[in-house]
Amino acid sequence: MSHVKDILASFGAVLVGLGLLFVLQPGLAAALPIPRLTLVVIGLLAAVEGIRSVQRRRGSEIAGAELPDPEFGIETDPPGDDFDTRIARLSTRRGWIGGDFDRVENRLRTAAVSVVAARYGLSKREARERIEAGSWTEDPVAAAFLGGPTVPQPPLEVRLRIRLGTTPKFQRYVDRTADAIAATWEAR
Amino acid sequence: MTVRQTHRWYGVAAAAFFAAAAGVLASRPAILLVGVVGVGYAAYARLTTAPEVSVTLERTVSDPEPAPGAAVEVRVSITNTGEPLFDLRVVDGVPPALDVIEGSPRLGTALRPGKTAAFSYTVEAKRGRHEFGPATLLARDASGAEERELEQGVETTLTCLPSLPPAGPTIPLRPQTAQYTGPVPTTSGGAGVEFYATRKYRPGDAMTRVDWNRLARTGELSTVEFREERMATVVLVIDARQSAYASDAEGTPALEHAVDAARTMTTSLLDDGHQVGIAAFGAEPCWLAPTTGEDQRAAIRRLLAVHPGLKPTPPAAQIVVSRRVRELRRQLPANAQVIVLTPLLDDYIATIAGRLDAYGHAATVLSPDVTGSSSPGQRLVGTERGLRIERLRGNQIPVIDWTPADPLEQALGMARERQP
Repeated sequence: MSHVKDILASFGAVLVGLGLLFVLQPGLAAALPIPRLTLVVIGLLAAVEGIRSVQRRRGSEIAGAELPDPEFGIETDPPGDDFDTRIARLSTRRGWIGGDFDRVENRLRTAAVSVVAARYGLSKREARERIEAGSWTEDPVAAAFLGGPTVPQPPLEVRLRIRLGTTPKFQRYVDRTADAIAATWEAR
Repeated sequence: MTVRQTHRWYGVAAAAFFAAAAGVLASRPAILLVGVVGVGYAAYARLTTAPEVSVTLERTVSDPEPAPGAAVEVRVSITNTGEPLFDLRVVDGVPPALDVIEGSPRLGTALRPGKTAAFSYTVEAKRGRHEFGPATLLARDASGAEERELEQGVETTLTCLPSLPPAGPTIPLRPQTAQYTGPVPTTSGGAGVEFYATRKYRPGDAMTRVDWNRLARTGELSTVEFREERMATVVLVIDARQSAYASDAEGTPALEHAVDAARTMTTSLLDDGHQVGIAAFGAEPCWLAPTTGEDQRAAIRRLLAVHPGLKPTPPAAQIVVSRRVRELRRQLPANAQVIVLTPLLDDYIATIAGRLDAYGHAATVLSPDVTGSSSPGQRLVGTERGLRIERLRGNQIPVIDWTPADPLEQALGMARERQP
């Protein structure tokens, strides 16, 4: 393959040399009997090659090595970072239904049950009932998030503020529930 | 080694061919000439190839066994033993746990045959054995159309062994003991200094322990028993699973705090005459049988610094801990108590501590608190950790809750006060 490449390169170099000679001595070129049609064919061939080059460029990105960045040692995340990342990811999704959502809710509910049981000296079952009834926290958002169907929705003003805020709705509900759980735990 | 086309001349070739076509079709020599020049460049880029790289790499460090926090200068020199290199880029394989604090571990240069180029940078030493990885080399031809990427290794190791502190606070141990006399109070009477109980005289009891006052008062022979004090066998079990690498607000992983605490506790326990051993649930099995003495002190110092199971970088894969727990149970002497050092960021490790305790190895948990409160996730994890501590304490397993910003002595002092 490289042999063919060498031959073609040599042929190309001869042609370039000839071209330069013609540039210096235009009279020599005029002496060559090149019909107009040949020139047109050569021009069209060049145009086709140009189009092929464009196609090749379109089909391939500029490549290059990705060199490592060894300046900074491996940094580890603070605990809870995975939870925050998951919430942020879920919030960007349309309609937060699915396993991920259930996992988040279950984790919050499990923590809430233990915290409410510890805070008020209840059994797990009683704590679960209190959460279902929405009476475990004064935060209407957290109460509604973990509460059953009988728990009223947060006041319109609160819902409007959440709806109009920059933080996605799901994230806001989860954040406030996590905060309510932490506050209940600290108040025990 | 990877050889890669960079495709960076494709656009130039297209422009050149279009110019040439326009020049020929319009019979305009000037436009044709523009195209010819471009085609010339493109042809050069197509015909040349990235040079074969043949270099030798040397790396020296100013101190191969530095103290923690010391600045270590790393000097790398690269000599071209092959053809001319128009564009050579070098990125050194700095160990992943170390930070570069001065200079740059990179070099970009042209290198003629036989010539040497050098660069240096400074890293901050941290606990552990740090092996430098191979340097990444990238060579391009003059046109940059093709590049050759390869790695060139040269073995360099930096070993940083932090010393054990000269003295440490008293460790609140559980009243579970070995058969040798030592400083841990027991719940059984015998020879000791603190009064424990009196019992009926049995033939063979020492004359010095007969309660003569009682004999004079009642005529009954009885023997005074003192609280027996014995030497303990303690195994520090370090949680080095992925979750134990979660970092505090300063970016220090919980494992580093646990290893620091293990160093202090080793000094205290060995100074008090206890037998101390180490185990870890990490990337590699880690076990050092408990014993006493200066050799053990040196062995623990080394193990805590360089054991692959306690690497300063998190393990790549999840660790199957259940097998390690089974192994640990086989290895633990029957009378050994365990101190589990863990940030308590999952239920599993709390369960393991409970299980070890249930198997008769009185367990204590020392937990560096790395949870924060700057995000809902952090606050939730902090609450979950608090619940775990409560649950362990409810199961009669003492938990020493240590905020690493405060001295360990303080947390241990509070734990001693809580002891029954």
